[in-house]
Amino acid sequence: MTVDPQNIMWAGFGVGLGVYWFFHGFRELKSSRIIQNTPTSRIATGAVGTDVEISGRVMCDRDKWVTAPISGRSAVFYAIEIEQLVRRKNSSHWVKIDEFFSDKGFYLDDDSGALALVMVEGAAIKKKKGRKVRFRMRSKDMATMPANLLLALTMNAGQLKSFKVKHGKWWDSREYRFIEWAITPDETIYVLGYADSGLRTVLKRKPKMATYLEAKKQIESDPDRHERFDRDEDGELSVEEVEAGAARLAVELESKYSEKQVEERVPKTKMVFKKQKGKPFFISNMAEADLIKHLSLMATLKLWGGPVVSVAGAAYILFVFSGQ
Amino acid sequence: MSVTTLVVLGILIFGLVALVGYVFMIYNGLISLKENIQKAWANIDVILKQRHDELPKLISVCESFAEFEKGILDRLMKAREKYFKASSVGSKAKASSEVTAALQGLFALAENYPEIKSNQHFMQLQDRISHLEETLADRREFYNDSVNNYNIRIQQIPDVFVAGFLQYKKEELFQVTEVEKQDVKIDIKLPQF
Repeated sequence: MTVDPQNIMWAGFGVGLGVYWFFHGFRELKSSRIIQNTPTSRIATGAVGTDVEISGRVMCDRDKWVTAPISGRSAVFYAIEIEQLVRRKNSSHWVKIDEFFSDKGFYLDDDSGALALVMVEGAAIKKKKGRKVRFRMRSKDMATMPANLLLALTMNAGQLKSFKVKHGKWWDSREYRFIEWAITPDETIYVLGYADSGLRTVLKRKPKMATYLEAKKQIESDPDRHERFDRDEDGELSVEEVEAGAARLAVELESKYSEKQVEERVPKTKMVFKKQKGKPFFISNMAEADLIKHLSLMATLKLWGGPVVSVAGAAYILFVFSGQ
Repeated sequence: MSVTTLVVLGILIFGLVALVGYVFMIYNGLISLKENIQKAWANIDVILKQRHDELPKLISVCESFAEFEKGILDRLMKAREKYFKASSVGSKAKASSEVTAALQGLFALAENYPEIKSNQHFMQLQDRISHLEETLADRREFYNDSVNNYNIRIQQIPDVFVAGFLQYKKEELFQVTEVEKQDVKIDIKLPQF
């Protein structure tokens, strides 16, 4: 009997994949049970300093809406996942290599009289099924990329860990795809995670040096800003006035919300959701019941499918070698 | 060893790992459900304590008005004392409901006394207590949801076996008593013609 090394390799891959699915299935099952076991709190009256589940409408003023870079839709927030095509001899698959968000987070309102700020970094985002907005390209075809996507990638280059925004050489055949997830205004979002007290976290924000320098440049070049930050009204901007103005303007430039809006919202922000090590953190645009159903289904498929794939792979390997 | 034996062995290993993993998950899940109930109750207790701290202030403001009915204040004081003596969730819930009912009566009665109604301290205390009552209602709902989740889980298969091993019993809900459900009786003194 001849042994096809490629089949043996596939069988070995199946064994590994099955074991991975099996353990991942347990994680999905655990997640669904956590969601089932946690009652929904109201933002205004819920206790903080613990895992909290809320559901509310995304809040954002019209002038702060952003344009989702691939679909061109108006959105409150968007996330772009970057995947790279990994080719094998007879197959290929997509691997997530990077992601970035339009902002650090968004506000949720559940009509209880208070708001929750959700900082998305590190969250497990579960999206509603539907048409995925994607863009696919080769590294050398950067010119075909939609202008909005290119702009978004350039502006958020700091968030990217492995993807570099640069034109590939003509021989570069790496293939990427960009998947967009956007939250539209007034969409209902489900969040389960560790909620901290609002006021402290919101006030802690400090602008980046680059934004500070940009703000300084704007103050020096714009006569209107000149007037605004001239505290002693002598018609001249002293070094201290420029620095104090730049610090203030930088916060405004980085903030998704204007200073006035932040001042209005800070006292109303009761909870801040942020990734905490060892704590669950889910964000979804699905209803809670649908999310539980989805996670339970995935868990069942992986818990049953994993062992089947694994045992089948192992059986094939054993069959081949015992037959020799 | 034949291939069939090895396949059966593989299935058995996966089955065993799955079983052990599942039991651990149920065990940890039940522990966290039980802890969630205690945490939810502690969060209610904080609000009850805050409300009880406000009551003597409210009583002293009302007492400063000589014509204010003493009966309702006595009822409030008695309900407050009952709460401090209560130890179990059920008795605390009952005492808390009596305080709520007495407060509803007091605020309704205050409507007949324009001087009290427009008193700055009274208004502040009324606002604060109303806010605490609202928070209490939400946290009671949260507590009952936590208890409900737990009570359902410990009766469902396969959780019932682990719950039996842990000797977990059904927990009491924080129910609204009949006193709280009753309409507030207001004795309005209408002018005689």
